[in-house]
Amino acid sequence: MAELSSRQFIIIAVFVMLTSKLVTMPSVVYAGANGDAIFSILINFAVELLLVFLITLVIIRNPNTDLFTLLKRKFTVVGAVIIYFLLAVYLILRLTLCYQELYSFFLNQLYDEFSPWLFAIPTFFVTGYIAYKGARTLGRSLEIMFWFILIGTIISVISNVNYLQFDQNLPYFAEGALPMLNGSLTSMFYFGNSLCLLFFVGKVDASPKLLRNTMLVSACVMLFILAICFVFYDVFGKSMQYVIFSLSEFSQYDPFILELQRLVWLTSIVDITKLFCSTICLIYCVGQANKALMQTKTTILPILVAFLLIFSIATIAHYDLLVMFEVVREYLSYATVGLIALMVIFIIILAIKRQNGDLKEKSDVNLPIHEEKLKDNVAFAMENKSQKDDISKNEKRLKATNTLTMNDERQKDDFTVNEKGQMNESKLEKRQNTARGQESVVALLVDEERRKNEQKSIQ
Amino acid sequence: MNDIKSKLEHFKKVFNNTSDLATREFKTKDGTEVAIVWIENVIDQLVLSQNVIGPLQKFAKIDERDIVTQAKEEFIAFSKVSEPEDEETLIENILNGFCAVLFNGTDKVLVVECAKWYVRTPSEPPTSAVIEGPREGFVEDFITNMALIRKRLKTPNLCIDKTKLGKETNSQVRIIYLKDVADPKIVKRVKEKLSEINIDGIVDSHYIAEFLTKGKHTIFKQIGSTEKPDIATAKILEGRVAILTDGSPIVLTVPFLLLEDLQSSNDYYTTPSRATVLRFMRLLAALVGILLPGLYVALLTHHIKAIPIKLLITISNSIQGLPLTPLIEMIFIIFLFEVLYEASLRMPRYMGLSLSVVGALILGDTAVKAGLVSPPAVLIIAITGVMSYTLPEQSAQISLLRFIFTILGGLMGVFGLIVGAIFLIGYLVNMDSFGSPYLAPFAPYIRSDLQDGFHRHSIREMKNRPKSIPNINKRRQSDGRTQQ
Repeated sequence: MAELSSRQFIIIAVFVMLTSKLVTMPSVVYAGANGDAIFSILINFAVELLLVFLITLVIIRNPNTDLFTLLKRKFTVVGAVIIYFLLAVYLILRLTLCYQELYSFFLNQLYDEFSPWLFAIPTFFVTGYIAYKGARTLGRSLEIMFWFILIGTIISVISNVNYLQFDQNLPYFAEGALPMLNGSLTSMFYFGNSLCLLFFVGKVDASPKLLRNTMLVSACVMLFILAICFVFYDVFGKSMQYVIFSLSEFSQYDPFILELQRLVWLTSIVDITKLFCSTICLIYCVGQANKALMQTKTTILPILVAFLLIFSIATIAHYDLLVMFEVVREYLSYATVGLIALMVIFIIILAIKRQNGDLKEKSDVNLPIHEEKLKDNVAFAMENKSQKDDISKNEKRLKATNTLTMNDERQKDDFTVNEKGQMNESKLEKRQNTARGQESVVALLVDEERRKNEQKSIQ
Repeated sequence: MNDIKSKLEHFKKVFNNTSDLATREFKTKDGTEVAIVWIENVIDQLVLSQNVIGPLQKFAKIDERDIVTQAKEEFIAFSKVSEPEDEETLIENILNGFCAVLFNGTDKVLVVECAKWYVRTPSEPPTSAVIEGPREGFVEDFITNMALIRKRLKTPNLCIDKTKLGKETNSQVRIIYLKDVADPKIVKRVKEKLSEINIDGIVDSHYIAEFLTKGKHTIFKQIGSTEKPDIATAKILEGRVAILTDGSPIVLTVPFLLLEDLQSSNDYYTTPSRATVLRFMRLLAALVGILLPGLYVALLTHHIKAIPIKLLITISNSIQGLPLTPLIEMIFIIFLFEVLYEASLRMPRYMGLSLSVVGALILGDTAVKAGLVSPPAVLIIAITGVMSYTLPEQSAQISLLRFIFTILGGLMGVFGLIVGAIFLIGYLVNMDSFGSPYLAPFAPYIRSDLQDGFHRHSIREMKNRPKSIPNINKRRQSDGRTQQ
């Protein structure tokens, strides 16, 4: 059963895309691209939009299958584990950055001193609680917080429009396209967030307009972020690369807030909630990745492992955002480019292959069984002697279930069996084929018998 | 055991020689010995003597029929006369205000209802006062309560299923729903849950509410309750199931959504725009009631720089020389407030009034003058205390949350408040009441149900029943047709 509505999925997508993009991303891009930063962001957005499009397509085409099962079917267990591992590593690093941003944000905005432990324990408890409760709780929680955050952010941006100086970054492309590409490449780490959405495959009650709506909303979010970055760059100008916490610094320039005298914490609350929501999304996805990798049924352990890793990395980096910046720019962004390229290929394969498979299954479900197909099935069934013996059993089952199709629950059971390994998967396929064959044979035989009886009665 | 004397002895033995078991022996016109057994004080003596004893004294066998049948059919002019199937039913009937008529020479017994319980007249409940609208309230007698609902729902579709709970109290419980509207699964689940209750006594419907609540330690109520028949009727019309308990003026309704407490019956007796404003005001008041003390403590303890200068100067003048930290000070005042509230509820009314005056004026003023607490802190608690009662059904929860958020704000500042708020949202969205999401129609978002959310649409526009409450009949209004 789907845990998320289409609307909840779109809201999750919004928060996933927003992650970190309003806090540290603008200055990282600016450090690489200078005045052309806005164009670097545009390029990266195109990549992220492509990811969102492909992932949504996979979600629509696989309404009842989770990602790991899907990957196992297409790329074997080893392939699935490797892909999951890569995703888990990326998400843990991404989450570490998000976690550090959140901590630094508090320290920068609201506290003179703030113990990392005092920050870590409640954060992990709350984000972990929602992630542990599952996709449904996550979707509903974000649904509640969405409007508060949206309104808060729009107010803080609109009130800055008067402070814009459009000539700050002119002329564009003064040094050619190289700075723009450099900025794009060194900030790609921030634009792979949408990979998170892969973990919602099989959990969304996809409406017919899901793809269109997701793309529309994603485009709006991108435009919104682009507008904010545009405002950032035109407010701060060349000093942008030194403004690490764009959003918090931004609020200092908010005339509305200044009028109320130092009520910076009002906007800070909105920004912090935004960061929290993104962290919850990431924690959920990391938990899901770890759960599949650790082959465990409980969700607590994978989430705990994720927390330990994040806390360890943050401690090693001394909770210094500048250290993380350097790592992101020097190594992680390049690695992310590779990861995204790889994932795009995988996702395209998932989407395309699934489409074929889907059509095949649809024909099984919806189309009437034609005589030719029956004959094929008879031939298939006759090849296997054991199947002949099972015909009577299947007839009973057929009468009991009164259906020729595999029902969803049985499919689900089969998939859980599948998670144990590839052997099971092939077993499942054989079983499905055999069952279909047997059911068809039974149907054919029953039909033939009926015809004979009718003829006899006529005679 | 056909002898009257031995029968009476048996009854006395069954009732453990209780002093309020009354008996009366007499002979009919044709000389048949008759005895009547009843419980004193629950029987209308006049009805008993005029309609049972009087006719029986004139009784004489007129044909070959059984004496009991003749008495039942010819002499006792009552609609509720029956022959109990077994002794257990007989005893239950006697306990419920019936009198038992015993005849010499036969094992058969007649029971006649002559009950006269003390019944309070339906009056306006103190917790649900309205400016305009019906003022009737439920009472402790479930028959009156059923009549109050029947009065409003004159349809054969109104089903009233009965059950009995409590080994010792034998409390009558009624499950009320509209058959063509309520989801049969919910009705079945309610019945199942009620049948699982195995307790010695049901003193009030809140006992049942606890058994129906999912989870033992939740602070939020998952079962709706009302004292007003118009509210109960409206909820039944939406597809909910009402549970009526004898001896309780509170009628329970399931499923329950948090939004219901934000709505008031008054909202439907005023204009939609006014109702919308009132609902937003209630929500805002509840949020302020929960968060304001915590925010005040957080700002004073951790984010003093964030307070506007003029306000900071005023506050710092007030808190100068205070021996307590803002957190301890606030907890102390909250404690004081709750104690005063609790004491004023339990004290005799004339004392309670003077106590509230003493509490508000003398205690508060003296505490401020003594330098124990600051005026802003007292003001904040006074404001939040008043605000929390804009949602009277949730005031207990608001009080508890206010206390928790004050501690979080004092210990961790704004971070603590945000963490607490996110946890609260996560906790609430995870709750459900008989399958209905607790925060519906906001999470999950159900667009059509928002017509009666924060913004109340005109009743003319509410053509469908809320989707948040499972039902089998979506339509409430037909299009453009006048009902004949």
